[in-house]
Amino acid sequence: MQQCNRSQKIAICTVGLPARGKTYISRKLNRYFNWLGYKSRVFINGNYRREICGTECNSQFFDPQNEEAQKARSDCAKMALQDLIQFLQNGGDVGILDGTNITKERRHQIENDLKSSFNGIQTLWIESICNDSKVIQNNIRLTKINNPDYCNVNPEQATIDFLNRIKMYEQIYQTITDDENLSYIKTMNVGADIIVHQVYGFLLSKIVSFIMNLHTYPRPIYLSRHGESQYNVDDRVGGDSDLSELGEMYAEKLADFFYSEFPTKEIKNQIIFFTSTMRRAVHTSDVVAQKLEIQPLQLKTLDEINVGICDGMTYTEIAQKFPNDFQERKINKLGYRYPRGESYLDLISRIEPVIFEIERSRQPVMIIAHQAILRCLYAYFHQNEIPEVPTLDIPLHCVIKLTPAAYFCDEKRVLINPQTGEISIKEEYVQEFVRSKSKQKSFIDL
Amino acid sequence: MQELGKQQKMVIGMVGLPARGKTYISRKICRYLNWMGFKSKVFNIGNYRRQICGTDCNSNFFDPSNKDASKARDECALLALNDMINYLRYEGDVSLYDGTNTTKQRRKLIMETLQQKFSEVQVFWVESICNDEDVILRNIQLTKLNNPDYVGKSSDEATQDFQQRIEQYAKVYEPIDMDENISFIKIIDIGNDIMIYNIQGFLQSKLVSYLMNLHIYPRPIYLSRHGESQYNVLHKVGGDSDLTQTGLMYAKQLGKYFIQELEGNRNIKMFTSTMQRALHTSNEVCEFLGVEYYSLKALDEINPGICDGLTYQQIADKFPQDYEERKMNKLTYRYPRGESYLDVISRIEQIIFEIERSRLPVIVIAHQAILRCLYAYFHEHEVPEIPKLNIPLHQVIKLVPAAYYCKETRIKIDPITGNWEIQDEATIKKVKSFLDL
Repeated sequence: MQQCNRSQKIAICTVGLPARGKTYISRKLNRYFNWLGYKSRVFINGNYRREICGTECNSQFFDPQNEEAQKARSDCAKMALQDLIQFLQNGGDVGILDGTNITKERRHQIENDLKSSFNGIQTLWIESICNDSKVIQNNIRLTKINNPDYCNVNPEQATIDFLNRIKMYEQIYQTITDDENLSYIKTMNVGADIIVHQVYGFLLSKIVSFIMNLHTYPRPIYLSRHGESQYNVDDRVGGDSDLSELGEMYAEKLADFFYSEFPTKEIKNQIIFFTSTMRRAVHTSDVVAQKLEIQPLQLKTLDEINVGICDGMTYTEIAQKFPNDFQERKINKLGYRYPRGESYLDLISRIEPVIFEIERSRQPVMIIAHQAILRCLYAYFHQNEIPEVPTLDIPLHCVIKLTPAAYFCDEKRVLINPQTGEISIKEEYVQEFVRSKSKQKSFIDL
Repeated sequence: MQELGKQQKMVIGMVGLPARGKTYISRKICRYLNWMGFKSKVFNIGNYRRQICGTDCNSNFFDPSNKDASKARDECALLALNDMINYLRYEGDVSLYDGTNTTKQRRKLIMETLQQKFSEVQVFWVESICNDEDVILRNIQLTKLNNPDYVGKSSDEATQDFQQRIEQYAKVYEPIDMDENISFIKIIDIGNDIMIYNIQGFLQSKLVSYLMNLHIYPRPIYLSRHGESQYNVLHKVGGDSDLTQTGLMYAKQLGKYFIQELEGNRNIKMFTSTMQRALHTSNEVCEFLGVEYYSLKALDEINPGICDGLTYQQIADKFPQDYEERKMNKLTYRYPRGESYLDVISRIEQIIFEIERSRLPVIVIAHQAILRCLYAYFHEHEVPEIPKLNIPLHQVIKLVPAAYYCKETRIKIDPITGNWEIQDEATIKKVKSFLDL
């Protein structure tokens, strides 16, 4: 629920050995908060260290006996914290400090600095514990090898060096204990086991639920609009029209596509299949459901944005009948609420439970819904900024396959010609996508 | 979100010494699950023991070295377990096994019995641990002294005996250990510390979220409809009409009521919808109180779709079939292009969490269908009753959650004179015998 108590500042600090998923959790939380309407940002100790000390730091740099390096690292950590505090002072709501923070002394220092910077700031410590060497190896493979620290090193060497780095940290690792008087969450075994200590407040309890449901299974999420509807043909908004002939053909071809995507009965039965309660989506889903022999769940939460008094009109008619509203919507498509209807912000709020469900799922997810709804879902997983949501391109007769991974989201678009059944595939990776944009999100900006 | 997924049957086992809130938690969970559309029931082992062994059991009955009594108690536990399995097989989705279950052996027995007799069932344990003497004493006073076990005894006698009973249990208490290999949540000192282990599945994770928000602060919840609206006067449904003069007067009187009621306390949470009639009512109240409200679309009145702006008579004339359908099944009937009560129940789930979580007084100014749902949730009505509940205009419903029920008071406020008429619905009203718990 957005807009609940924006006045409280929150600082979240991670704790844990390297390769325990701290950055992953920080990023996910950051995404979630921004989605809920809070101004949130992650401050990564590692990035400050890379910028200041350079990226050629092998594991010796992390030796706790190496005094010079220790001082440098400590200074970097202080800078990250200062930037976080400044961010909160200048209008930020949630600051996330992503670092190892494995000693009591360090945590005590940070907690004091945070508490003295703000009256009533809430702090939360999230410790990620993992002793499964397979998971750790996997993490290293997925995220560290591509790390700027190892850009000139081959993967085997990088892994060895990184494992040594972890050993350095292990020498001085102190897990959080109750006498430190911190509000904390310890997550173990990738969220299966969680300990929560003195965590109160709306946002904080939402965080626990969120972390409980996080996982790193790379399951695919398929998003598709219903086939072309009568109202699409007439260029009208709203309504509950049925599929046009072309739309029905799309439904058939879509069913064929999914049939080939999920070859075995086992996989098919595991699919999580959602659709809305509107005719055009239900009919599209029914065709797919029949072919795959599975049942979709119809959720009213996935119904298209409610256009209120403009229901059934074309954009031209709206421009004529309600010129003021038409202008207003053009200027602020995100916040504009159709009279007696909804805004995109309402939509974002409305679909939160579905987003939770999808985050939770470890099986493939299939959603057949509507343009505005899919814009919101797509934006969340693809990490778009909220203001971009109302203008995202989600065309008819196209399946968008998203596969969220550790730090990015893989995207594939499958355009299906409803008449010929011809398929053309466009593959895009977010990292490429993001680098090519002028906004230049480097590893440092994350 | 109701009906989510192909749900397995589930057993929730409670663990904990007496007076740790196990029955309170089981009832709350049961309420929440039924609300979400999962048929649930609590099986209270104590009730079975009372029925079979009688209610004249003093603390010696609970001495673990008392072989006869232990045998009898084990039998009761198994009886309850059997009834629970039958319930799951033939009727329900979730059953709650409300008992102390304080030894590893007992828990193991239950797990094995369930595996044998009903292998497709998921089991989830909830352990309540409390070391705060004051809380325990208060629990005893609030809930045990009225217990059939202590009929005819003075409250001092009863308290002493109960404390001795607790000591008997404490002798053999083994908190859940991770090596028992069971899925559980431990709630320590009313949520100060929580441990979650091996949670599996949608329902378990929803329950954990729910349990994290529970507390025992007896904060009041005030429900009121907006003041009379123009559509109310015209007997039309839907719309976004404004308040009438009378409605506006009610809003002001409502503000005055809250000033008195809250005695200057501004630490409250106020929620309203985005519709004019509710917003304007809330504005007036907030002027008086000097607080701010949260305006949530989730609290908007039920959407009557194509019937928007029509009177019930017009609906009967224009859409006779829908009219009949709605009369027959008001709960599930969905207005074409609109909503059903079930949709509304789904929609307000977040609000229910917010209200549960809140330790401050809560005021909700909303609409008839919405309030029917909220009221039903807190007052533990069955879901099918919701569409017929009586939530009239110009009345404040004050709910104060107590141990196993919700105390209700209704305050009728005359918009013109400002007079109040208080109806105190005594707890006798919904007499559920202790056994029905």
